[in-house]
Amino acid sequence: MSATTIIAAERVGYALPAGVHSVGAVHSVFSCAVNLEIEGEMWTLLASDCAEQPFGIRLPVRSFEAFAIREGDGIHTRAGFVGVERAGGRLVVDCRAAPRWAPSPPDAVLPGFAARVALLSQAASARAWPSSRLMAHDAMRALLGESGALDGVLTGIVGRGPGLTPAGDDVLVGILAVVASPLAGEAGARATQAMRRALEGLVLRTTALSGHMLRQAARGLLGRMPHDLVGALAGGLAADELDCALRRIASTGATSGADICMGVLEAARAFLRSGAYKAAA
Amino acid sequence: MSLRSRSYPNLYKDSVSLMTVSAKLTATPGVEQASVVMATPANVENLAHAGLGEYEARANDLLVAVSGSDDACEEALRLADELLSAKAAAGGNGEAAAQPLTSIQMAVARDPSLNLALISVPGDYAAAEAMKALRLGIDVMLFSDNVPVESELALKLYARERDLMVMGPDCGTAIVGGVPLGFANAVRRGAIGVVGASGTGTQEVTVRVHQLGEGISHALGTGGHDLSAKIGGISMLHGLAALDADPTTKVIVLVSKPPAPEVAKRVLAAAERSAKPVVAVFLGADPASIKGEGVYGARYLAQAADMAVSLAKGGEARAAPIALSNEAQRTLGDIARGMTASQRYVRGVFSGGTFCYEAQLVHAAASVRAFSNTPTDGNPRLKNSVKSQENAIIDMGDDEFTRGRPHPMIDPSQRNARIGEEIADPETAVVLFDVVLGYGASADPTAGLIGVVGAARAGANAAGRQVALVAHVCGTELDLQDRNNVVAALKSAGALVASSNAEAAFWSAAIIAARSGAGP
Repeated sequence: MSATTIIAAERVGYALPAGVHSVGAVHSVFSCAVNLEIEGEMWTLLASDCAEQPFGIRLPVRSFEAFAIREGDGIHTRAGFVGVERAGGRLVVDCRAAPRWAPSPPDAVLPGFAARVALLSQAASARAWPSSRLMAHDAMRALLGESGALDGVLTGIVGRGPGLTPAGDDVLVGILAVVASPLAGEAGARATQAMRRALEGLVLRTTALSGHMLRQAARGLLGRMPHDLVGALAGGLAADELDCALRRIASTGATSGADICMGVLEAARAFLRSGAYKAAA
Repeated sequence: MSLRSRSYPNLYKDSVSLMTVSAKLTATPGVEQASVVMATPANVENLAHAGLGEYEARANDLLVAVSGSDDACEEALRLADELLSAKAAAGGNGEAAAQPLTSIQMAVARDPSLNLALISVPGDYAAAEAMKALRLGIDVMLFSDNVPVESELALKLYARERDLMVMGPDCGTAIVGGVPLGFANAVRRGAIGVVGASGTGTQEVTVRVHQLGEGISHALGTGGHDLSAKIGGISMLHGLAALDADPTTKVIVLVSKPPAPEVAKRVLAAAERSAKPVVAVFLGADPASIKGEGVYGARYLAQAADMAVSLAKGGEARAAPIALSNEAQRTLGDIARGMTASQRYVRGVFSGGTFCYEAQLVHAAASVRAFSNTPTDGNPRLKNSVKSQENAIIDMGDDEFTRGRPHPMIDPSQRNARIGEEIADPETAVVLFDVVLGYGASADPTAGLIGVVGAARAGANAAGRQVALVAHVCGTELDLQDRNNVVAALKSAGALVASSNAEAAFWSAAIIAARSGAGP
């Protein structure tokens, strides 16, 4: 008889409907993350030092390498439990008592915005994929109606570049993090809607993993990194923490963190300004 | 020229792994272009534009495309297979899943004799892990950086109360009881103990001691901030006391940049109280300022090792001066005279931060001011770290070059490319660089370097320029990379290889002085 291992989750993301009864399969396995495809959504088991995701389940483990989870292993969720049917026995993640991670949106853009933008640009520019800044610029021009149709421009960006989440997709996540933020006000809401419509037909042009990430971002469901980035630009960090935080985000992954920064920078210049949200409110 | 490709359906690798594979394929001799991407329509279009072939887009497939000679393409695809399947093969069959060790507490529970935890987790979490280890009563080597100074102080005060040691944060090198940790070198055991606030500084002293026929009892790290006024040298004082009490240690070497004045006073007072001779090298400080009964000051790292070995052998604290022999003077003079009028500057390209620092000090002593991304007192900061100006000595291991990328001691490709760029600059007279060997360092540090140097030198020669290459290899013949092999490879590529970092810098400064008309 195969043994069952039960692990209590440390924390779950704010969008995770762990209580539903559904089935799926393991999509991909990495050292510190396991992606689960569950009825059209992508959930992620995260090692304890990974940044939170809206559909993330953080476990008190450093790595998944010893858990012998394989791509294609069956998944079932029910009543706050997530079961993984491994060859070596069932792994059950108990999410019932796990606290939810829910990011607090910044409520204003504090003075010093231009200096913070410059700091982020300095931290991220050298790290980003060389074409990322241009892609961000092109996407923003199209979004603001200054160039060709948005879906035509995004066709050339989705799935473009190196990485498991191609650089172009990371740039678009950065843009969505800004326009979907309450700080971007009504104009941001309209831009988010336009991006969501344009991306609907394009997510099949990228990897399944990245497509899920884009879909979630277009619904305003973003992980801790882009949330923190927008919060830091708005001025939510003390001066001595800001540089360190921006550099940490910009250095995430190979170029992913820096590519997201490129998108955030372009969108922030257009959609964020001191006091914007308070004024709109 | 051939064009070859291989597709891996539904293979998912994280971005850093893909970048690493791509860099290794590109570095394969004979490969002209290599690309490792997910086969999305946009990337397939890019490959076609780059002349890397036309493919059917299947977004979830990993695609490897290479161009170059037949053999090189074949080798690159074989390498891609090996690298991309490495992790899967190591995935295991579930046996380990029964009881994975997921905490220090679990490890200590399984083996209560454990007495040292090596912690290497992101800085945000490192202090908490270190505190867990200290609470379990074990010493800590904290490899992680980006630990706030307040956390460092709290950890070290807690450790001091319990007679424990915190090596770090940002402690990259240690040898404890003959066990190398982090970036240590393979050295023989012996009578000399080291406490170092600098990783490569500790490496330089320990390998020099080995080369001089002596050995190392222990080499303890403190982390770079330990001798600041805020931390007060807590770890260095603990390390000094530990070596003083250690029966196998006969001579102690302290390695650091200049400590805060009040901390220096405290450390030197403790050194004077030690029953053993203590050699201190506070790089940048006047050795004459290091005083005390049985306490000896050295100016450079190699000299500290020389003095320690002499003391361990029952002699006086004596170090050979770092100077030019007549033969070296002639050789360097000939090289300098063979250069064109535009060649006036040194370009130092370092992977070891302390080597960069020491090289700047040696040049400054020869009145050669150099721009740097990590300038010593009196040297100007480089405006743009990726572009040298005039005399420039760069630390390629500094944070700005290593975010999201391996340190150049692990993957020297970025550093090699910079060396190539500097050779190609018509204003460059000398390219000065280090090659650091040892555990954790690149297994074949000259593999890419020789090709880059060869191509760049051929270009310079075609333009009528001879560029002097001056190198220092920090390592021993016992290291995996074997210092003798590395030195031979560098010499065959035309480099002058010095016996220490200070000597290499001295040679470089002599050439620059000659180019400005001041000798040798």
